[in-house]
Amino acid sequence: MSRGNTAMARKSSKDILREFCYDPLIYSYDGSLEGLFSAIFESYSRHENPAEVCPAANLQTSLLYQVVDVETNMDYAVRVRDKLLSCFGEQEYERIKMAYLSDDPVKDTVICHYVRHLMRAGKAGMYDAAHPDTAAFAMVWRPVFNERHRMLQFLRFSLMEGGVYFARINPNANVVPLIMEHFKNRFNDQPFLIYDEVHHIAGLYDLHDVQLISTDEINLPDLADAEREWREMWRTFYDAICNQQRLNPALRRSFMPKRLWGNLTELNRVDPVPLGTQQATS
Amino acid sequence: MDTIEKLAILTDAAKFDVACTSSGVDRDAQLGRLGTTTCAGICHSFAADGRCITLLKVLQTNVCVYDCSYCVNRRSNDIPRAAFQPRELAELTMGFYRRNYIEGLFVSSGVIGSPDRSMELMLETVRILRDELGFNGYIHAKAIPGASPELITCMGLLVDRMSVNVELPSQRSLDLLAPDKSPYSVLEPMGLIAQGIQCNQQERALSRRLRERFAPAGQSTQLIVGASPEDDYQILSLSAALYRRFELKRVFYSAYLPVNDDPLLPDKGCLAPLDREHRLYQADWLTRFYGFEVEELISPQDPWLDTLLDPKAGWALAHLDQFPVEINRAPYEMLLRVPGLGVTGAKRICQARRQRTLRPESLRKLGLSLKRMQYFITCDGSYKAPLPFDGEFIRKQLQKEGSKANKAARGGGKRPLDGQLSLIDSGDEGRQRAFAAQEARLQRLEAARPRLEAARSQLEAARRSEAS
Repeated sequence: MSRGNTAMARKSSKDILREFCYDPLIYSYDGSLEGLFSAIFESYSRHENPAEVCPAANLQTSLLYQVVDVETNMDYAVRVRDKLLSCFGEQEYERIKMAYLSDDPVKDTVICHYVRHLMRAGKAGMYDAAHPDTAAFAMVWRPVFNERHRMLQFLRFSLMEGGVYFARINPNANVVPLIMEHFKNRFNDQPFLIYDEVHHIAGLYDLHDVQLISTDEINLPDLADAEREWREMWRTFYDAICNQQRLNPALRRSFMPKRLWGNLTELNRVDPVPLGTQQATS
Repeated sequence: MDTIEKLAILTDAAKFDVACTSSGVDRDAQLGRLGTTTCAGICHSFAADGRCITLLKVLQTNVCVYDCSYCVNRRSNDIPRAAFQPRELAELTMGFYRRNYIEGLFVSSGVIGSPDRSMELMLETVRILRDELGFNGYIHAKAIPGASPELITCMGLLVDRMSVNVELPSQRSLDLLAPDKSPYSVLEPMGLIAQGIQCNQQERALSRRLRERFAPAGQSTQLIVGASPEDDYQILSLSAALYRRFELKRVFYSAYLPVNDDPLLPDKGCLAPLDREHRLYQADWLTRFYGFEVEELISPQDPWLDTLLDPKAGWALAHLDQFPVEINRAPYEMLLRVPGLGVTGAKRICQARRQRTLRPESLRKLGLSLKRMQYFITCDGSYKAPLPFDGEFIRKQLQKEGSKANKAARGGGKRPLDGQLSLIDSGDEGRQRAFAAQEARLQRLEAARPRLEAARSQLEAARRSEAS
């Protein structure tokens, strides 16, 4: 992942020296947030400072490092969570959860080192943006925050037969859990389904509760009758609002990255959800 | 005519209004009503011209009895005309909103019959949206100059933001190019709205039960740049006065796009002064968020902003004695004045330097770009930019950076670089011709004024004697 590389590339020579302070260990965990917190707990209980933390699925063994399998333990995870909440507050805890939703391959290591740094430095550690651990953490969570905002901007619903609104998104971080609250408040009288085709997670709102479902397959009903007309109207508006004398495609691309165009009604003129039941593409 | 055709016509007619923001008011979800608003606003799309689309920006109708020369909808233009039924537009807004296409509605209108008639139509649209369809999202409505105060008050209580467009930055130009409007007719509704907002705030401070809010996101206006000969100093002074007098949230600058063939206006072949618009926005921001005064950026002796260099860098180069500043010690207000450093960056530095002394490499860790600011700062005592520390040299370096970085912002490689012979010349020629024509017509008007006045007083006298 390019993001991860930049996070690493920003390390100066001093930071690289710091790498030697870590114990030559890789903690491998099951990939869940509870697992990550358990790994952090283990690092304290075993008096170790692992050089890397990695989900078991992505594990690459190396001669230099010894792999430690960390078992997920709910009690440990809860203790880590409560400690973070009581010492650093709700906002900081949310930020850590946000960082966990990143696609950056170094996120686990970065979070672990950051939490250890916080425990050492106290609240000052949060504000010490020039510290390598805090800086690396900001490089992980800030893109997630931005991607969340992009989804609030560029997500497009289509009305399906049966009255459910459906949206398909392809974010570069697992942001569905972060956007459901916004859409639930905004569209409190319309049931909707948001499907993240990259992380295979669906968020469902049924007028009462929000549910997150991990799924590879999604069966959709047909588009509602008037839906094509609505799309056509939106495209008409989109074309008409542009001032031809001020065309500036580079500026548009910088605000609205091309990777998201496939799911944008106004730019992808081939309807992204074909009629009939279909399988989700990965 | 069906809705989609109307939509095409009335969007096309509204696209020259640049205001498109959904910011300024936080409103949570309400049970049984659709929508929320967020203070920062959300842009839902970007058109091919790079401008954001956040609201459904349309005219209620493009039928207009006025004949303003700069406007595409003036009555003497032969263009297709259309009008939305209030309910039709309200339902269109709801449909778009439900699909997350927009944050809400931006409704403006041509003058169909009388200003009151246009206002009534817009008011009906907004009323249906708010009362019948339970729409809780963002609405921005225009007040039509000359409309009754009652209608403007009603509108203010239903919408989030109101605006009246000044359009031309001086009374002379307004007389000349918009003969049906007077400065008074523009400023009067502005005053009404400002007053309404203030009264409402005071009432709400007195009684918590009062839920009604009058234009909670404030009001804004728009100035057209380049249709008339006013210089940047006049424009910026006018907007500063507007911010002060009417507590505006925003003044928008719209580079004049030649849409009409009119001897009084720049030729159709003229390039829009996009660079100038860009610099005006930068100066506007500096006065609102960076603690600059208009007089610091521009003076009556030198009334044009440099199009090749941003106004903040211009100020810094003129005050090089105050630089370089030490990042670790400079007060926040001074950090804001460093070219290449914005509000976010300055805040981040202030927070981080409380914990440790910032070294040159720390700035990168804060996610700040050194490209422009390196010439104006020292970091823990060291100055990292190429030497010499000299105004001319720094100007050249910044322009080199700027021509690369701003290429995208200014619309790609269309505009010529420094010293290149270019289309701009012909554009300027057309503009000069237009301004000369404006001057000539103004003189004719001035010359005719005594005769007009005489005729008017005769008429008055006749009417009076008839009445008695």
